[in-house]
Parts: sequence; C-alpha cells; structure tokens
Amino acid sequence: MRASAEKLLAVAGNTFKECVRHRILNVLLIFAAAMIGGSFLIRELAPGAEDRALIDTGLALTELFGFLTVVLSLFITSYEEFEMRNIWITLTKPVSRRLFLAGKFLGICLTVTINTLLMLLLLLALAGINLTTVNLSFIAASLGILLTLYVSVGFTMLFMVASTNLTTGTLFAVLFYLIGHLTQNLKAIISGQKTAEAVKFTATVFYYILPDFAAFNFREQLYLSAGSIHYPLLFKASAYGLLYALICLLIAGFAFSKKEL
Amino acid sequence: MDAIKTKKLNKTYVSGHFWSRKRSVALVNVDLAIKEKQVFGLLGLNGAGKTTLMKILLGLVSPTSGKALVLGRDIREASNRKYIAYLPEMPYFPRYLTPREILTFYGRLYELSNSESKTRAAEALQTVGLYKRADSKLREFSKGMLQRVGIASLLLNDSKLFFLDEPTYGLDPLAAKEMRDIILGLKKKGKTILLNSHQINEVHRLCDRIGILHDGRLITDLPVSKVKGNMEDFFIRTVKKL
Amino acid sequence: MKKTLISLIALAALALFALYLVRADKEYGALHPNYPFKETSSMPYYAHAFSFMGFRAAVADFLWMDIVQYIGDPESSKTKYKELYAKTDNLISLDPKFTYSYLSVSGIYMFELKDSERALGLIDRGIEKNPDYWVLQLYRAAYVYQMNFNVSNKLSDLESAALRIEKAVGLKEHPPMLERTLGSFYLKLSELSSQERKKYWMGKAIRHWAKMYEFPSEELNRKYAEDHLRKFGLLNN
Repeated sequence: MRASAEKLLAVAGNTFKECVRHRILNVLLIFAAAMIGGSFLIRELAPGAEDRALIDTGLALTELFGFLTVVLSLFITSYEEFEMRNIWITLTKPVSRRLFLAGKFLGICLTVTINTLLMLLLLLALAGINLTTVNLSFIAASLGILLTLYVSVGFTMLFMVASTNLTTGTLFAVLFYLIGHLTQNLKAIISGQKTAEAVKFTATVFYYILPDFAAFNFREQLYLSAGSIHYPLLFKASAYGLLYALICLLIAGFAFSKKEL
Repeated sequence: MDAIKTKKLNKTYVSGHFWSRKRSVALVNVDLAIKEKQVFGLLGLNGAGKTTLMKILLGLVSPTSGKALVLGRDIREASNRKYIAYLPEMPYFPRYLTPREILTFYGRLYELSNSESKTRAAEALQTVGLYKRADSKLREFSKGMLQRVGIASLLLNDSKLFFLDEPTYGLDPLAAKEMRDIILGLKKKGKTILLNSHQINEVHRLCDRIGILHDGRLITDLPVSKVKGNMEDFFIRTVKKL
Repeated sequence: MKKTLISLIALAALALFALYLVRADKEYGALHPNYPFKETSSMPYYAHAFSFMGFRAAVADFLWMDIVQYIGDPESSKTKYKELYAKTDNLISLDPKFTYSYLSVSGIYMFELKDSERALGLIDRGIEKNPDYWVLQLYRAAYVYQMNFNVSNKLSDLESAALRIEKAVGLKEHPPMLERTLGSFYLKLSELSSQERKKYWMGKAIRHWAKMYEFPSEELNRKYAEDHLRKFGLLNN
C-alpha cells in the first residue's frame, strides 16, 4: 500500500514538473494573466457596474484558460507518452497502468489548481487595487471553477486514452466541455409534459452520463441566492464533481489497461 | 529456470472496422527459451517481429495466443517487473526534466527510497559520463546523450534481466565501446540479457546464443559457437534460404 | 481514411446534440420561472454562445457596455435612442439582478426622452425581480414625485410613492436620508388630502417622527424629528 502511494506521488510529481516547466503552458499562463489584467480596462467601459464587470470577466477568463490548460497539459504529456513513446520505459517498471494514470491525473489536477489559483490571486489583487468588494461568494465561485476543471481532466484523459488519435480525443473533450454547460436543459425535456416516455428515458440516461457543469456554476447560483452561500449545496456539488472525475478515471484506467502500446 | 520462456506465441495486429478488418501477422508460434545468465541476441530483418516479441515480453502488448513467462511469471503483473530493465531503440524522455530527476523517478518506481534513488541516479550518470550534465534539461541533449541516459536507467536497480533494443544506436565509437563494456560487465555479473540489434558483429562479440526471426517465425536458435564462418554471412544465408 | 470518417461522424453527432440542448434552453427557462437567466432571440450571437457556456453574468456585463457605448454615441441621440429599450430588454432578461441598468436607463427615459411610462415600466420590472433592492423603490417614488408633486388631483400617485418609500425604509441598509424624505411625504400628503385623510396622514407622520426621535439611525434624523415634533407641540422641553 505504502509502495503504491509512493509510486502514485512519484508519477504525479513527475507530471507536474513537466507541465509547469513546459514552454507552451508558461506562455498560456502569461497570456491568461494579461487577459485577466485587461479586465482592469473593462471597468472603464462599464460605469455603474465596474465591480461586477471586473469579477465576472476575471472569473470567466479563469475558467476558460483553466480548461485550455487542461487540454494542453494532457495533449502535451500524452503526445510524448504515446507518439514519442517515453511511456515504454516507465511502464516496464513495477508500476501498473492504472496507477500510472491515477498519478498522471493527480499531477495534471495539481498543475491546473496552481495555475487557476495564480489567476484568481491576480484577480483578487486587481479587485484590491480598485477597492472592489469581494466576499465569500468569490471563494465558492473559485471552488466551482476548480470542480469544473477536475471533471474536465477526467473526461479529457478518458478521451485521449480511449481514442486512437490525440486530435480526435481533444475535439471530443472540447465538445464535451461545451455540452456540459448545456446538460441542465435536459431537465426541461425530462419534465416536459408533451415528451414521449422513450425520449424522457433517453434524456435521463444522457443526463447522468454527461457532466452537468451548471451544478458547479456558483457564479450564477450566487446571483440567484443574492450572494449567500449554501454549504450543503457546495458539499453536494463537490461530491458529484469528484465522483464523476473518479468514474472517468476508472473507465480510462480500464481502457488504458487494454491499450496496445 | 528459464529467464524467458514463450510457448506457441502468436501475435496478429487487427486494424480497420468490423466490415473491413485488416490483419497483420507479427509472430507465428514462437517457442523461445532463454536460460538465466545467458546473453541472447535476436536478429532479423526490418518488420520481422523482433520489437513485437520484445513488447510482449515486457507487457506493453498482449499476445493473440500462447504464453510468455519472464523470470517464471506473467509480466503483465506490475510487481513482476521489479527485476527487469529495458532500453528501447531511440529512448525519449520528458523534455523539461533533467537526467537526475528522471532517473530518480525511475528509482522510486523501483521502490527505492527517495535518497537511495538520488544516490543511484548520481552513480549511474557517473558511469555513463553524464554527471556534469545531471541538472541540464533533457531537451538540450543529443540523440547519443539521450541513449546514455537510457543506459544509466538500466543501472539503477539490481535487475536480473535486461531487454536492450539497439543499445548502441546513435552512439559515437567510444560510447559504443563503453556500452559494450557495460553489457560485458553485466554478463560477468551473471545477468540475463535479451539483445536486439542490427549490429551483427556486436551480437557475435557479446552473445552466447542467437535467434533469427523471419516473418514472425523463429527460424534459428543456436549457440554462437555453432555458427560457422562469418556471422553476417550466416545471417544472410539463413534468411535468403527462405 | 475510414477511421477519420467515423471520428468525424461521431464529432458531428456530438455537435448536433449540443445544438439540440441549446434549443432546449428556452424550454428550461419556461419551466423554471425563478431561473433568472433567459436569453432573448434578439441578443447578438456571441452573447448567446457565451451565455450557453455558463458565462451569463459576464455576458450581461458586456451587454451593459454595449448599452453604454450606444448611449454615448451622438448618432443614437439623434434617433432618440430607438434601440435602447430592446438592448435593455436583452440585458435585464438575461440578468434581472443587474440593477444599475434599470436605474440609469429609466433615468434616460424619464428625464431625456420624457417617456415616464417606459421609465416606470422599467423600474417596476426591476422591483418585481429585486424586491429587496430599496434604491429601485426610491427611484420610483422620485419619478412619481417629479411627475405629480404639484398637481393635487394626482394624490393617489403620491400616496403610492409614499407607500414605496415606506417599503424602502423597512429594508435593511436603507440610507437614513430616506426616513426624512418619508416624513416630508407624509406631511405633504396631510396638507393635500381631504379632511378625512388629513388625520390619517398626520397620524402617520407623528408616529414616524416619534420613532425617528426614539430610535434615530443618525443624529441628523433625530434633529429632524425633534424639530417637527416641537413644531407641532408634541415635544416638551
């Protein structure tokens, strides 16, 4: 057990180091910082709504760049592993494929967390400079962004492992990310009175298979509840997100164990 | 005990979709037995199935049918890989790590402690002449230097069985000699080595036995001492006969 | 080639499914009346795209920037801001909590375009979606005050304005100044009302001043209440 934990942390650490040092990801982070810094200028264009424009734009950019970080990190590491075959040496060591994938998942999640926290810190600094009030709902919104990104790591990893081509896997992941923001609309179809039973059943199945990012969208849910945080809601959403990511990882582990390298 | 034993090993790669499957036969009924402490040279033309055989023995690919045991065990179990080491052809490493970091990582996968991994990594880099570049990024390394890092990874653990795929590929003559010396050193220590190489003379010098794969079949398996005349001529004659 | 085709077909199916879900967005909004974020069909395409991706609040901010640019454009004033209501409708449909938009746009309709009906309509929409936001109540009262204060036959509007300010004063964090305004409204209403209603409004004024005197939210309010109570002989030295 202890040996497995050590190996898991070794793989995670390795993946993290490779990602944070990679030039492309560093450039992406700098670009993200520049864009978030630019939301400072957006304040000037939104008189009367300066504070919310800064925070809303900053949070939206943080999530978008966070997702780009997920996709790029996984693409770069998977390219080196499968196309350049650096995984061959690793997997001939006493480490199982599932453990390797779990370690990689942790490493990418750590990369994404660090990058997201840096962007959020920048946003907080800008808010501080502009005397914008930031309350606890900001923390909830940040948690929502991280949950969205962890789930994204899960299904992006699954698609990249399961597909024969990294580009196809990436495209599937991007579409899944977009669909994840629309999944809640299936509820309308499910509860529609004119909807046929077969359609309702299919919609229900899809609702549970697809990720529901609306569950993590605390940015907007906070507007609904006028800024107060519902802790049970946060807890439920976190459990859902982590469970979904874990299921993706399990399926990816199964697919990876059968993959011919 | 046989370090490597295969019985009626077959591998067919299947591609395409269910309405138009393409089959490509890589190995056909390969029966191979390599005793412990032996250095076995695997020869064959390009596409003969040498890499496929190696990948099956390393657990990277599953056989279509047949059995393969390494050190008496199923290599697909992770714990059974503790005493094997592998050097692929043209090894590639994460570009933004350093040799020290990647070797320490491999050491930890071998269940060595962090400090022990670092120590062994330093020693291995010293052996292959890369100690001064231990903290340079791997993206700055030439092909030959990467090969040396790969060789260093073989020396981390007290492995019993070594899989070497073109170990002198990309090495300058001095480095190639150093590699051969390392192999001979391992041989002296009683290690088992499966060597896949196009360098026929190298195989002749280093190996106890050779096997020739042709179109997925093991057509020859004999001690090097029984090879009459020049090894290269023998290889060409054997392959041309078919 | 065939593998690529299968992948493309799968991707296309996924994209079509995404579009299907976009269409279902309207149904979802209709089924959940309390769900505030509703896109209108006249919103720009980029607003739809980012809105569906869950960035509705940020999209609302950009729609506001568009309105600000529109108001600031000299060409818009020549056309009497004919697109202003549609743009504002897009914004407040998407994010009804964007309270500043009700205030500023209604102000333009009220004071620049002299369209009090539209101004009050916007404020009423804002109050419906933001019942706890006292500023909207205040603005409505102020508009009614502006329209009708010197016209005695519009007493009912003044009364409803007073009731709105009463509501605003009942909300947390209302500005202390509002209490003084309410006192002045009661006094004015008692002056303008019929004999029966005069007593009613005077009674309300006195009770309001007494409360302000005993529980002042600031010293100025206490002074104001004290002055009025003394003026009517209700406070002994």
